[in-house]
Amino acid sequence: MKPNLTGLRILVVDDDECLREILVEMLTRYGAFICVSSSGKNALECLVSDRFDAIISDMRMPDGDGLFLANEVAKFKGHKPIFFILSGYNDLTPEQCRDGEIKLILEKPIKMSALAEIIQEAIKARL
Amino acid sequence: MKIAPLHPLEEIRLQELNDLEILDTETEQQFDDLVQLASQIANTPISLLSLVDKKRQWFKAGVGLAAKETPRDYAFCAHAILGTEIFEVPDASKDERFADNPLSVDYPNVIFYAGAPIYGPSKMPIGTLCVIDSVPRTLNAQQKSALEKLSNQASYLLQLRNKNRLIIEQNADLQYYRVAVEVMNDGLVLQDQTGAIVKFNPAALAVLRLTEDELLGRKSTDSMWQAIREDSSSFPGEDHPASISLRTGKSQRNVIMGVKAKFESPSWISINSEPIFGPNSNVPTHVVTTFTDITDRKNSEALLFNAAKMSSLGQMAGGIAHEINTPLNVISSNCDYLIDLLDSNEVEPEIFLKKIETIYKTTQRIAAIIRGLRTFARDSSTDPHVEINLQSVLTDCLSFCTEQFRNKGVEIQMQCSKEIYILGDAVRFSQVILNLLSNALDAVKNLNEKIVKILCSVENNTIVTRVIDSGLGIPDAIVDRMMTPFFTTKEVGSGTGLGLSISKGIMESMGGNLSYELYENHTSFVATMPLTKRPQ
Repeated sequence: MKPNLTGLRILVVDDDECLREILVEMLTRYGAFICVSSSGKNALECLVSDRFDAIISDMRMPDGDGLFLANEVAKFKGHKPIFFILSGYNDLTPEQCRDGEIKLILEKPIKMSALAEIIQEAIKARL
Repeated sequence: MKIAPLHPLEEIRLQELNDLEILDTETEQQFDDLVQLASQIANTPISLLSLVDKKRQWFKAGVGLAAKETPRDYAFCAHAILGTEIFEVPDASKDERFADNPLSVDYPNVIFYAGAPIYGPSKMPIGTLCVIDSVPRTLNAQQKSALEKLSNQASYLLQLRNKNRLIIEQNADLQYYRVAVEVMNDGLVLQDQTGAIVKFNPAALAVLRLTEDELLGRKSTDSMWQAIREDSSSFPGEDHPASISLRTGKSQRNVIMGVKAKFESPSWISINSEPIFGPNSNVPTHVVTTFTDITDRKNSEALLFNAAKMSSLGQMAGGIAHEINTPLNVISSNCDYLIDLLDSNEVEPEIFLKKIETIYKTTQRIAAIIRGLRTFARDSSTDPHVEINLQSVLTDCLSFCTEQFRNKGVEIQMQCSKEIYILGDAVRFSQVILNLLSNALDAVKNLNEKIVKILCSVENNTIVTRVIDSGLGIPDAIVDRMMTPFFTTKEVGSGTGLGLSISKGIMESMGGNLSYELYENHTSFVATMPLTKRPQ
């Protein structure tokens, strides 16, 4: 069965334009509403004005990497999006993941249906 | 009583006696036979083979006397060794030298004495063969002649006994050397004048991994050896240490050689060769060659080098994984997208083409990353040095890392005349520049002022390339260590993996140098090379 992300708002953060583009197209097909950012700092601006259910962020980016963004989001009061790292190479320690309230570290390349299912499951578990 | 004076060469005489190692030894039949004969011929009850020691005379053989020695002061023989003829005392009781000699007054009542000196190998008189009676008498001419001949025989026997003893000692030495050669870990071969192997030890077979038949008679020039030098070039037989020693008569020491013989991987050996000359000749008749197996050492050196290379690769691995996995994700996601469209029967050729084009372009992106890696990881050490335009090499380097600099908000500037040429290896020089740029980028990325400059100039016939960053110098503690291999202050994956030590080595291999200095209070690395063409 096709994953269903209908009604979910997801923020995709990656410095690679091609990857951002296909993630938007694919997750949109699963019914999600997607915003994109090219860096950690840029993503923070989106988070000021919009409310998201989940964030999928790259690790290594110029101008605010994935860990920086996770730590900023962890400081939010009230609603916090579920935070996923999607990275080609990850060297975060378990302590860093805990402090940044990172739900899962996903490794590139990842199958789109698997990514969607993981998000779907995580949202369901939270409800 | 008159005590005999010492022999004029007494010390040498005593030395010769002691060197025979005969004093206080057991009786021996040949000497016993001699005194028996002497006593029978002279018709005396007593005959002795007396050796005159420092304080005593000691009897190697004797008949008619139980004592093994007497004090030298009383010894008639001490007088006898001073002359070359037979020393004869017909009647001691009437001789002022011996009348009150205890040996004459008491037992054994030496009244008649006749002694002929006997000689050691260097003709020193070491004792006598003497005959003694307790009544006054003389020897007739025949008896004297016989006593002389017997004393000659005694000298001859003593010298022969000594030679025998030395040969036995030498044999023991030989045995010792033979055992040492048999059990030592080093290989040993003996080659004759033609270079053919005539002797060898077991280790030679083990080290070279050959059988006796394969080694014996083989010459250095034999094609079987397949010898190589450390740089893998062929090591011809005429140049082997043994061949050189045979040809020149000179020793060869610590020559390193790889011997493949019938195997693919060589046995590495460190060789010493020593020529052996015939008597009164300066042409070697043989050459002795020993060799130590250093294969393990060579292999572990190779492993260590490889480990060092892998370590620097490891530093790069994180960066590479990141750079490649992202485009891989682009490809896989686009494939997922196309499959999803097919599943939903949304087959629009235009969209398909667009996605396939993206996939194709992304594979090119990955290929470019790998190409870049290959260029910089490749061993160009055997490339010939050529004239390279400095500006174009630097421009290539910059294009390689512009993206990284832009990502981190670092401004990069370059000043270089297009007239400067360097003689060297473009790939390796690029490695140095990229290493310096990568270090500079790391140094400034968290500063307020983020600038990296490349400045080129010609100073005193030297081409100077400075990579300057907006940092304010490097702490002394780091300066001291930063040129040593694999010293790093960087996080995993944030370097090119090429240490400053390697960069310095590269510059030195091109006749230049790499050093650190402050340039207008800013951190600066200076790569220098000899000038090949002046800017016009």
